[in-house]
Amino acid sequence: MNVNLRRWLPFFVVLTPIVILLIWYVYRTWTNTIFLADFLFVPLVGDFLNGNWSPIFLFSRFGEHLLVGTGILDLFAAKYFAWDNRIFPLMFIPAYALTAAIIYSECLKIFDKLRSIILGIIFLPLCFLCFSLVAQTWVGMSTQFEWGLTIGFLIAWFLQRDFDTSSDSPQPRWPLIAILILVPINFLVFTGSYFPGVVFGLGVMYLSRALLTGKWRAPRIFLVAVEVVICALLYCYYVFILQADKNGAAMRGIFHYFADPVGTIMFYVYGIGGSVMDQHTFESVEPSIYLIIGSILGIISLVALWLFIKTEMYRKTYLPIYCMSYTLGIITAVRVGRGLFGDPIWILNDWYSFHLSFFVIGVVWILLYVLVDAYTQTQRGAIDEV
Amino acid sequence: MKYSSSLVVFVIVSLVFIFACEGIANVAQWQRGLAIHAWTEEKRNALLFPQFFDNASEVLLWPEDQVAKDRKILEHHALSSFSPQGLTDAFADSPDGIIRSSGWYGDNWIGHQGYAAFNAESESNVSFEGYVPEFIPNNHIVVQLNDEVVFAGNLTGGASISFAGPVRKGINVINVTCEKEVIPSKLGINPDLRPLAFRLSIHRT
Repeated sequence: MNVNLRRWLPFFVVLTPIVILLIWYVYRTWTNTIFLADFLFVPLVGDFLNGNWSPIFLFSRFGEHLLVGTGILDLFAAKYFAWDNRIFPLMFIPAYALTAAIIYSECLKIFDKLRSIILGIIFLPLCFLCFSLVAQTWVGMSTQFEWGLTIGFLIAWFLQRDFDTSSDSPQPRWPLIAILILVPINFLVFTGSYFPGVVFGLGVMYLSRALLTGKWRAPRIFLVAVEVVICALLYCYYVFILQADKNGAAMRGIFHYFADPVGTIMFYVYGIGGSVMDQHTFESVEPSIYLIIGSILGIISLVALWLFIKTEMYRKTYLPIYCMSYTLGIITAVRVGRGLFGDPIWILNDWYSFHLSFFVIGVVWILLYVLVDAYTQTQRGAIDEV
Repeated sequence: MKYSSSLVVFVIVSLVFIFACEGIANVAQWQRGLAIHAWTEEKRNALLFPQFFDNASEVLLWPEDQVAKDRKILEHHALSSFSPQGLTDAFADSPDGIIRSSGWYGDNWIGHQGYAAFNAESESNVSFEGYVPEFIPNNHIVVQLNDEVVFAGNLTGGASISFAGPVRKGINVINVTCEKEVIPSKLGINPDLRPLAFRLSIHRT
């Protein structure tokens, strides 16, 4: 068997049963029906199937959240699957699989000396987190955002290729071209109002690289940054001037963010807690349990960050930092965008859960790296003694 | 970096904590799946059979006038619950292919009002056999099939009737309204605690 294929075997071995379980869960849980905001798209779908339709309709209606991506997914589902709503949770699966594949590909690079079976064992918990039921929130528009999250992660992965200093040969151009194509698609088609997650994730990735290695100059990253800023401004123009934010919720949110610092901190703690436990786990219990879990996980994540620096994991990958910062960016966006005052458990709502779950992937990735590194050192020590 | 054993223990405990939380949450979510299924099934029924509900649009969480318009589009293009697969799924759980609302019980007894619905592959006829129990001396019964009255009249206790009606392709809804209902256990007739008025069985041809 081809060596590369053999190295990818653990990925498929781990992925297959998880995907089967998830498909089972989808059919066990969801019914073929539409409700709530799904109705927004019925006239569009009707026009499309009648042939009285123009692609411009996709851009004309759905405010801050329901962007072109949801419309495209709806038309696709209507055309080929009679708009069976269960196609949307199923569309999550390739997005999760792509996320898992990126993580596995990074693991191949980071743990290049490990045997395939050990690699599979390390990948199993990370793959489980990618598909965790904590992050399942399947209504039509969530699918759009889930793909936004995954494409954002893909952009971060491509961008990171330019961080790789182990090779003296110039970096190929294709990742940059891919990024320049993907950024506007992601911002304007899929991510929409959740763009601060990607921006914060990429920004923190770049800053940590600059601080940790002292390499601030990065023309390609600056080029991407310019494009990101243009897309963000375009989106803000779309939302604030043309579409949804008629009552100035975002402006109120910026005020509340700073005027209620305790509420803001609680918002982050609840959000971090929500990355390992969704709000339905303890429905009848005081929500303060999420505060406790969030505090503990917050402390663990701080230690993980310290370990990321101390173990020099950053020489191998920055993606765990992207994962954690992405979630923090989303929590910030929700706090500001929803203009919330003193309502920290809002962040535990279902439709944020898959954004939050990215945080714990970053933390676990670092902790697993530390364990493997410690184990490798022990083995090396034992060999040296012999 | 040199690793102290306390640091390694901390990392292991942290991972155990994270996966314990994840494990609990995943089990809870898996179990919750059945409740979500029931919840979305109610939405599906509100979309397919709005007659069953006092306010179907409330169940669907969307304004009534828009739901009515959108329902026509969905039905016209056989989308979502109205697709062949959606209709098959909707009737899959009822052994005789007939869904009855809460006032129309599985043993064909009906209280003051009851709805039932079935799907037909083509136009045909359906026959009904009705019975008014002896413990209701007389009762006024109205049976509508797809909003058309197929039977209306006063029936005395113990009377049986038969009648038929036209079935159209797609979803057919039967609405039965009875003037009086009685709880047999209250009269000491039998231990049945349900309010009963009429028994109507449906025979599809």
